[in-house]
Amino acid sequence: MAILEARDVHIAFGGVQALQGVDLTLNEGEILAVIGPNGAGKTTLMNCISGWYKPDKGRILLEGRDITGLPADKVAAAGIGRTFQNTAIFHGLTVLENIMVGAHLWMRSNFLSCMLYWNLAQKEEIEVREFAEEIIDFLEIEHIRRTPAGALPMGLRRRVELGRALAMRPKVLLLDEPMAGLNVEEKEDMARFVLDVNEEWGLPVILIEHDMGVVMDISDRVMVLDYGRKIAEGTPDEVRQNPKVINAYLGVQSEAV
Amino acid sequence: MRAKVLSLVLLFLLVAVAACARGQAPAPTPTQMAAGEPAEEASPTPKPPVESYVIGFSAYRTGPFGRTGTPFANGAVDMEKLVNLKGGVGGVPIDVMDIETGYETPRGVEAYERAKATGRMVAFIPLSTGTTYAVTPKAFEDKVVVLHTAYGISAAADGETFPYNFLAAPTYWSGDAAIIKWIQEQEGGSLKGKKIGILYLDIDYGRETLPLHEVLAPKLGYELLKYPIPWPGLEQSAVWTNIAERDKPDWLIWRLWGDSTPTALREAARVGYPMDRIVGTYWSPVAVDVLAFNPEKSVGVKHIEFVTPGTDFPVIQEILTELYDKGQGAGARDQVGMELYNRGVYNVGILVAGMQIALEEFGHPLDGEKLAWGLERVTPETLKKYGMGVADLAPEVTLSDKDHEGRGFVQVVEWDGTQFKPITDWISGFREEVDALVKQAAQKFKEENPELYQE
Amino acid sequence: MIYRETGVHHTTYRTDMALFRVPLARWSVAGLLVVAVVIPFFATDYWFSAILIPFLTFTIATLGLNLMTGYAGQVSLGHAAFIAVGGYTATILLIYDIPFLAAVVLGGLMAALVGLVFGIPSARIKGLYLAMATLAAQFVLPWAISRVVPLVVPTGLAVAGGDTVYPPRPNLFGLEIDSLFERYFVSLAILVVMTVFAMNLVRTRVGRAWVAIRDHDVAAKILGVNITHYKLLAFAIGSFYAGVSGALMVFFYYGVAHVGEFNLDLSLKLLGAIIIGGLGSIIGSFFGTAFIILLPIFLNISLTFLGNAAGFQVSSGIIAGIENIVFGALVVVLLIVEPLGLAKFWQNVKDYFRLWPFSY
Repeated sequence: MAILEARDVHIAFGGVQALQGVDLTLNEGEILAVIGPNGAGKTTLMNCISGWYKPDKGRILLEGRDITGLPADKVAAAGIGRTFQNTAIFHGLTVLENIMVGAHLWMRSNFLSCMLYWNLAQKEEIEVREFAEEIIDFLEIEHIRRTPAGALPMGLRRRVELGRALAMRPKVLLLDEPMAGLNVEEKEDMARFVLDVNEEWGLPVILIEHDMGVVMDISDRVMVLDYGRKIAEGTPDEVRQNPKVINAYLGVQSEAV
Repeated sequence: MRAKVLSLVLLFLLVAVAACARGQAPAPTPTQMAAGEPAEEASPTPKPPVESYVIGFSAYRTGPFGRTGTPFANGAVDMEKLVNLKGGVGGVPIDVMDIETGYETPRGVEAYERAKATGRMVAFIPLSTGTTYAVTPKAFEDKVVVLHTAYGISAAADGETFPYNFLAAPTYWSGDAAIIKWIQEQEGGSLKGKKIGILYLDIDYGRETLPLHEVLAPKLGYELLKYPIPWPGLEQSAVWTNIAERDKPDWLIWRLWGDSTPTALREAARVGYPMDRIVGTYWSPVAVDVLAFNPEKSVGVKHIEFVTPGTDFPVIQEILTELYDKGQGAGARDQVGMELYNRGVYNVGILVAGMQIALEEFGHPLDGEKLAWGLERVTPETLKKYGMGVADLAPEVTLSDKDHEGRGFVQVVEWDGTQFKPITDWISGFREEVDALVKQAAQKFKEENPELYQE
Repeated sequence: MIYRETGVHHTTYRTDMALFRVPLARWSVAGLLVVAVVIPFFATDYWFSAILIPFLTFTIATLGLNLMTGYAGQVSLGHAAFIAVGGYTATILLIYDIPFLAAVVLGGLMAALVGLVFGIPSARIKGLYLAMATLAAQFVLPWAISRVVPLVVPTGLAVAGGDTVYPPRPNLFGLEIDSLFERYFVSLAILVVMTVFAMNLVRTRVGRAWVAIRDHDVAAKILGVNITHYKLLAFAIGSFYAGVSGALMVFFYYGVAHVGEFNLDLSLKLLGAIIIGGLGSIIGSFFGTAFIILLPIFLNISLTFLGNAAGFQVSSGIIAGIENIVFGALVVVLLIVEPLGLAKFWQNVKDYFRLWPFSY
């Protein structure tokens, strides 16, 4: 059962064809890894899905509903949550507030009731606080809940960002290199959180990652991009054996290592 | 580091609060020094019945208008010293509390309150339109004279409506009326078919005389051309192109202020508009403006005056010998005698005259109400008698309980390359039209602010 | 001691999310309010007119600008113009016999509407470019006011070319607000209400969205925050504060609506106030206003005082010079030592005393 589909997505920047007819299918409850060398178009594909770019051609469907070309905030409301390659937490807010921003899109109180902190606003704030605390427990960041997020090291920032995306209550989670800049222990933690999110919350995940060990360990399926085209797709084992992939990406990397 | 800075700041604040908590700022007291002590040595007069009479003064030597504010402030302070050297007002020194305000109204209001807190303030010199507006209702309540010579509220010429506001100088309406009268004479008695342009800052000050011109223009047959310049008036090239190429007015009346004036002089020179066809109101172009532009290229430019500029007056000579020769002048010697400087002298002088007149009637102690009474009895004769020499600067001022303007006589002065020199006697014109405007404005003010007139 | 959290345990999120979480904070705020209520019984005219009332009225404007610029990150150089819109609207309404409180609120709403319009460019531009766009308000609005006001209220002074209007004396539920004492209390009450509103806004959904937009607008949008909506809301609410403050300035402080007071200089001062006080801090708005509006006066008075105490006869010109130097130096030192403003200073003090005397 596909929950998210991208069909024949094209996008060009100036003369550069960043994506040339990419198809993507994410099934319910699975972790799909998207890999490829730098500049292959992985993040561009994420940006197309989350509404930041409008594809020149092609469609994006979420649960069968066409979300192509919707502005990013509407895409978020439709149920797509994401994190960023270079963390994009809100420095001036505490960890708790960062996570509560995630809940913004399904909160209902308007500015007047906020101003008065009246009935609905107060009830909703408390409700969201409880929900945010659950996420904080889950991510094991209770000790820093009142710390300004700007003061955190990278490992914790990535966790906060994940928590913030979870607070959106998304239907699909896009993680753009969640392991970048983390040490081995932090990577293990993050991998565990991603698996838990997938298993306990039943959330389908698209994962962009360079760390092949992590990719091969936790993903159900792997899709490989090169020069804006999909060159392979399948289980980790299938992809590992694919000569095209070895040529374009894995081989290059193993030589480098 | 932080702790040190913090404690320094705290210490400073403490000192400041302590100073304020004394009820008022301690006045800068030239008074004891200037009048009290030497007087005691010279003749053992009894201790004055009042410590001093305070004249609050919102001065500005800094800020965007500091260039024009400085000579005025120096004139006022020098006159204060001179008056006190001569024994003050009936033995009581005057205290011109010049408080720096940077031409900002909140600071002007603060200066008023600080002077008032001495409990001895009899008069206040706002030297800014905004401050005049803000302190006028306070003056009604506090019964303090507000002296705004040729600025502020023109309707205050009606002394019955504004009991404590004094211009003691012509209004803007009187000024422009006199300018038109003078131009009419230059044109051989008729303005028919002549084009007169008004170059004005597009704020209430600049627009103030337009209603007068709208009355006078059809009557005298001149064509009124309006050249508004947006505040602060540093961009004028478009207007000047219109003046020089399209309209070519025969005369230009200026209603500018501050840095807009040198800019206008520069533009006039650029487009080749004849300088001797420019007649400014009291505040532009003044000597500091001309000096800021180019003294040679400005020869012939004119404005109107309510005090005569120059140093050839006993009172100015006395200031030079008693203060500047002894190194006690408030400012630079070469500014003495500038029109703005002499206006500062005149401001303090006319207040002293009012106090002296009131003193004869009431004796010590004086207050704002008695000073107002005294000012209403200023005539050329009484000013000569009590004005400590400022009658020479403005010999035609006659105030009364109805007229707080003083009949509105002005002099046209012309820049001769080094200074502004009078080229006319004291003139006025179209009093009927001017009085009608004053009456109308005063009447409406009275209707709109009934609470000021409840007793 | 000052800000002790130890031993304070909240068992419900409701109490944990109260405006002041720590009892001591509650007590100090209560104490501050008591002081604010007691002061006027000892204050002189000078304190009312030159210190207290301007502080109260300007602080409302600073709060608004801090919501707009400090929290939502929308730089505005047109704040003084919005203050003018509020002041004039309220004055005109009062002349037409609208009750005082309604006139103040409507003045605020009018300013909010105008602020909203001038905030529209924020949908496309930000930072310095937005600052330049809002600068337009500072030029257009005074011009418009000087054209419109004489048509709506042809006052006596309008004969003199325009736009200076003395408001009638306001009255609250039939009581004339006349004495400085009454003016102070009405201003104080409105400031307290506006402060509570501001604190509520910034701790709830709206405030979080504003900071999110300020810190990372891309991320905010990806999280589903409607950026344009919240930017415009910031402009509207910030201008509402400006408008209310303008009404109070005209009624209680200046006593006159004179468009010349609401110039670019004031806009820049308010911007300076929030930077020095602390961007994105409610208490910083109070500190910043005190610094910008009151410190120069304190400096002037104390320099005069020190000069006289030392036996010098100091000219006001020299005092003005020293005042400007000291003030400028204080600003520079402050921003070097603590770029986050006086609010951060205050935070440091609180943090220091949190565990005092065991500072480890």
